[in-house]
Amino acid sequence: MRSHRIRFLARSLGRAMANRSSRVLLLVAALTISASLATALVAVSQGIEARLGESMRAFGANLIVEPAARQVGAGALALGDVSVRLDPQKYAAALSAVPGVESVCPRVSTTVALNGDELPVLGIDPAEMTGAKWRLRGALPAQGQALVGVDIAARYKLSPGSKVPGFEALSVSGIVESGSEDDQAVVLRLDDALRLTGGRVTGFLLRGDGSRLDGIARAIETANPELSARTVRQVADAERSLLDRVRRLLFIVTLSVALVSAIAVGNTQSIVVLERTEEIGLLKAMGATRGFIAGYFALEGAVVALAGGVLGLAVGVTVAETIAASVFGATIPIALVAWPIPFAVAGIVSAVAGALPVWRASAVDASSTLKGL
Amino acid sequence: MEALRIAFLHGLVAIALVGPLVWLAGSGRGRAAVVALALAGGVAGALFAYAPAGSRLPMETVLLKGGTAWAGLCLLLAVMDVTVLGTLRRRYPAVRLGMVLALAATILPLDGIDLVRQVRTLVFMKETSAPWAWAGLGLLAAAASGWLISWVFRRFGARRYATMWSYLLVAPVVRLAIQPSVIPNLESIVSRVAHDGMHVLVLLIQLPDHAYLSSGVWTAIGLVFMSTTGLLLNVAVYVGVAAFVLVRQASKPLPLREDENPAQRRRRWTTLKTQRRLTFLPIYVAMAMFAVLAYTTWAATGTPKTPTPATLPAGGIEVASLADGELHSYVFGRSSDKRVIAIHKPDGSYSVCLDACLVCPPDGYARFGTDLFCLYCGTPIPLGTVGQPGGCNPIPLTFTQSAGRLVFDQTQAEVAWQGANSGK
Amino acid sequence: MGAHEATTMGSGLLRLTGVSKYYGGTGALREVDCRVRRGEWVTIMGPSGSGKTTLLSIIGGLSRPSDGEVLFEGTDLTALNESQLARYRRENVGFIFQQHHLIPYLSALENVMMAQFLHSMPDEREAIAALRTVGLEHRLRHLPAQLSGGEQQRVGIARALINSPSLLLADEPTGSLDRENAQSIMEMLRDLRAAEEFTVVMVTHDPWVGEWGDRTILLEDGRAVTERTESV
Repeated sequence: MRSHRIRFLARSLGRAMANRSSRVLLLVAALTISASLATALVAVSQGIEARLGESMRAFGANLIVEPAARQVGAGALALGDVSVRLDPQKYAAALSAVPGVESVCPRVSTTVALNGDELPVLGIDPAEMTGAKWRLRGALPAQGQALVGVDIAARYKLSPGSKVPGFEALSVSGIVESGSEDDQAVVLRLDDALRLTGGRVTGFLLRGDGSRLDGIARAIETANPELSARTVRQVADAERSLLDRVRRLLFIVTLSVALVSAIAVGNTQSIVVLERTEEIGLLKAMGATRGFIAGYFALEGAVVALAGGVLGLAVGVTVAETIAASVFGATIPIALVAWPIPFAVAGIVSAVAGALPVWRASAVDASSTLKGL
Repeated sequence: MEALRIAFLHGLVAIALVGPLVWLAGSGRGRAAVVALALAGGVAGALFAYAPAGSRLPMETVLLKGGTAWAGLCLLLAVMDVTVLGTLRRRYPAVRLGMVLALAATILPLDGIDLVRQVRTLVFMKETSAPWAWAGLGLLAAAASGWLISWVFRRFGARRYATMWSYLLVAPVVRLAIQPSVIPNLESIVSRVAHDGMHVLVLLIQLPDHAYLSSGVWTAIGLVFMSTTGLLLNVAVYVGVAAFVLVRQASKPLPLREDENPAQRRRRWTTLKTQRRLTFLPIYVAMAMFAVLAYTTWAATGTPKTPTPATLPAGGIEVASLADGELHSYVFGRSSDKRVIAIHKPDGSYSVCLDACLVCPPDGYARFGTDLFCLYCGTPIPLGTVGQPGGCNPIPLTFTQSAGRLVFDQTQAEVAWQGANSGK
Repeated sequence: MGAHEATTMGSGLLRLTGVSKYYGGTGALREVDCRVRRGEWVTIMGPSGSGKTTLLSIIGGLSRPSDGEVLFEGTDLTALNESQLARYRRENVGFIFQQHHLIPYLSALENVMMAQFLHSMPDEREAIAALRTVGLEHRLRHLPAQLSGGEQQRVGIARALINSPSLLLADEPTGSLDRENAQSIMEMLRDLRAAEEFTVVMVTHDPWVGEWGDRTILLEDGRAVTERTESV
């Protein structure tokens, strides 16, 4: 003798839901909206955070020196498109002279136009490339060679030996992967890059004595008022506070959307319970307990929430990638923590909104079936 | 937070082990209470053992030695039971329950310590991705193997061998045997004896040693002593317990009653099913446990790391370059054909050895978890014993540490290399 | 009928003592006393508003009396909590309704299996056999909407009896059927009762239906006025 309780329960649940497919679709849609929004929010902000500070940390630098006019903003880390440029020799000497500064690495960050695309270009002293916390496939660039980021390599199907896109004279010596936005850049030897910018650099990355970084930054700014020196932490903090504000805004938006979908879900569920009053009374007459009725409706809510979660994940990831593509021009890895989020959101909204209808269903008077209609 | 997590895992072990044991004991009333008590005891024990965080666990040694002694005692008890105590046990249920609890108490602390150790390794490694996906996979695999075993039992009518006492007799022996990591260095002792014994044997019958045994054979011998093998056997024991219980219970037929109508029969069957489901709960938890165990062990092992030989720095090996705790190897000698290895061991000391032993051809060593492995014969050498001479251990070199560099006499090392490898 | 009948028939199954039910200030039932013996077929009759249905729902454990005692096999239903009452319903009571009350999205077979499910577990073979007994083996997979009124009521009977209840409660079982269908439903109940020996308590306002029972309890304004024995 075999028990088919679960199979039967699943079948009748399926029938019940198919019987009210339009209402079920409405519920799923309402849950999908809030679930996908929450997913997209988390995925995008995780993606931004993952990139925060990476470009500088890759060099082990803890100070960044740039022309003072630069504004800190969402694109500050892109370092590209900087109008003010600095003379490397003059400043390298000046910066090295500041006590506590251990090494100075001039850096060029710019873009070149390629097939209507803005191709980010970095220029770094080859000696600094060895210290970089990059995963390097291939070799460091000799004269006439350059590195390319892993994203670029994938996009243009590059391997060591190919021509560097945008720089026909150069060949690829290796491919770097840093997990930062450098993955989308062409990394030139500093001298090659300086030729692009007319011998000027866009900033310096400094390694200084970690215990007195703030003092060093102040000393640099006092000696060179036209420069702004910030610790990497400050840059990251500035980015982070901006990100926090954006995130808070998005959180409020998500919360309001969740509230709206909760109201929609609650309404629909209440109507469903009202429509099924007779059926509930019948089940009770046949011996169903309040707990069973509540569980039966909660299970239906859970199935709807699961569907909303799956759809929410799909939609949310798509939205996040679309945003990422338009903002960063690249895909972002969806962090593992983002995966349960649509399910949690759909589940919570469904549970909160469904609690009252489920309770009402369980409280239906069993004797109502006898009264006739 | 960390302590909580470990305590939780430990609690799972407690349920996984005591649950089936107590269930098998069939103590009826108070079964749930015993499981709950064991859980609470397990959690408290793990918290206590973990309390001096950072320091070496002082409880560990105590529990290990005590646990081993207990195991012996209980084994004796179990053997006596077959002969003498059996009558007593049958007559007094309390004796029966007491013996089961004693056995549970034997197995538990060992597992707890092992688990705490594995979790700590895991915490320190932090190299893993998607741990829960692996745990889920492990769970599936465990469930599948449990089903398979129970199917085999059913198919071949082996149910009558799946008794409580066959389990109680076998489980502690197997557990102690397959989990030598619980008893420090037992693993290496066993493998050393087997390995060296083989060499001695070959020597005695005056055959050239390795010529007749290909390195494939040695790899197979090495496999037996690998921690993964231990893990698999361990899982088999857990699954075995589950299978015992599942088979014994699930194949119990529903007795027919003449005076029953179909509805009453359905009712009775459903009630029975519900009760069974409750008794199976600890088994499901045990299966979840495999997943965690399998994952922690898997995460703690990883792949063997074979060092790429570098040129020996002129002034000696820089201490700073060893800070990663990995095995480093260097070529030296006039024709750069000889190798030394150096490692910063977990106990804080350094070892410089030849990349060869007295026994095998000089294929070198790789690091695998907390062991070095001979790349020729696959013998594991616990990092703690690296630097000691003998057997398949790398031949140690005398070295001095000065100005952040480890310096050894290259001429002597060359002589030692030639001495060790001539005639192989 | 024989020795077996003598032992089961006659022993008390239900005993109501001073049962009253008030809705707000008005009394639907007032101090009703009655007994039902095992195996009996009792009809409750009375004009509408006389409290017939209220009495039935109290006997079936669907509602609680405001006052009084309802003993089922010696157990006082008023002392049971809600889940105990639900258990009483699923193990001891089968209901037949005037409106049939089949679940609209489940087939005839699944409607019967739902009763099995709530009681213990679904058993398709047993459910099919039950539907065969009521002559519906060719209608197993039909939805209620695809069945005639008489067929729906026969599914209702199969469902009510699938868990072998000791008490079958029927609320105007022929109220929405024509005479021909009503006749076949009543005959079916009579035959099934002869085979399975359950007790019937049936509410109706139709004297023709009342004639099928052993005994009639007449309710008027919430009081049991007379007990009339039909054919014993």
